[in-house]
Amino acid sequence: MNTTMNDDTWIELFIIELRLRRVPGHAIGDAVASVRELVEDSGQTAEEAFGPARAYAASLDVPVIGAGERGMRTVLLPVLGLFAFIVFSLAASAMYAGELILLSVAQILVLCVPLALTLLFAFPFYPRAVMRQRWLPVLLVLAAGAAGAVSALLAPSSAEEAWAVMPALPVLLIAAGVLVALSVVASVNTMRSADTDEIDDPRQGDGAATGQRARRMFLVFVDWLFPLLALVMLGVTWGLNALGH
Amino acid sequence: MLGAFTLRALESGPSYGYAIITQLEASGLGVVKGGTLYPLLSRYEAAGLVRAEWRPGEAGPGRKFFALTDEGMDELNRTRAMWLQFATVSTAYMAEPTDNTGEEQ
Repeated sequence: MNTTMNDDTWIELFIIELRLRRVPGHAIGDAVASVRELVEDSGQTAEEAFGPARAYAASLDVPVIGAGERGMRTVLLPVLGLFAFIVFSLAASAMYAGELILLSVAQILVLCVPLALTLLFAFPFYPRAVMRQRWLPVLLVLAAGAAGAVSALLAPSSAEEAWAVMPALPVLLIAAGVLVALSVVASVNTMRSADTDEIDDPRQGDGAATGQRARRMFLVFVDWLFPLLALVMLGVTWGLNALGH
Repeated sequence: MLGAFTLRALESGPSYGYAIITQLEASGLGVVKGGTLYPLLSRYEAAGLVRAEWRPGEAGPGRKFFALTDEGMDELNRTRAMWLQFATVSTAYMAEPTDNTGEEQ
């Protein structure tokens, strides 16, 4: 290659390569800091000292996050949370309207599609495939959305047509329990996690620790977003219902 | 042998990337690129032969210092013994002028 690359561009490519290799944030920060250290000490460019960013990233023996763990963190828990939130919303509307929840067999089968797509994340091959193929997550979200829309069309209009008739309150309580349980699991994961996947510069000493703590608190808040939204939604539905009466 | 040389460079105490490179160069072992040295150190760190720690710089950003562990010292002594044995045997062999002129005996 005849063109010389500027160090910031080289480091950006290096970070992307390490991210693609599922290297956790703290290890990326460490590797980048080593590059900066040698570049400053030697006066060489990053490319002169380390060669192509991709080859250098491949040559390092650094820890990696398992595909299953990343899939669980980024997809499984949020999608299950969303699913529980949707069930909670439906149950809350039915409860305030004094109606039962009616389900047809076709509706249940269609709703099983996004659930099955989500539960597949428990198998390591699936999250790896989803992370590698950029179009696959989009397809999954579209499939889940389409399943939701189709299932609404298949909703029975009366209790006689329904395959399953459920009282709203128990469904509401179960969905609320699942929402809280998922948030507890996500919070424990966040607090236990040795890093928040943020790339920190170890050369800056302890200054990064405060930022890390603030980011961790923010992530815990995000972990509780669905239960908080469910509470807000419950309040709004109750308010609208009270106004209606 | 670069691996053994790198362990040897750490024998006298903890050191950092550029200091290791300049020490090897000053010892006549040629210029080692960062792209060669750091992957080696990362493998040694993962294998428990060296430990690394970031130390704050006096008037600037810190440096990553590498130090030999007990396992690293054992590995250095093992490879040093093998190298010295190889060097002794090969030097003796290469240094001896032979009487053989190429004719079959």
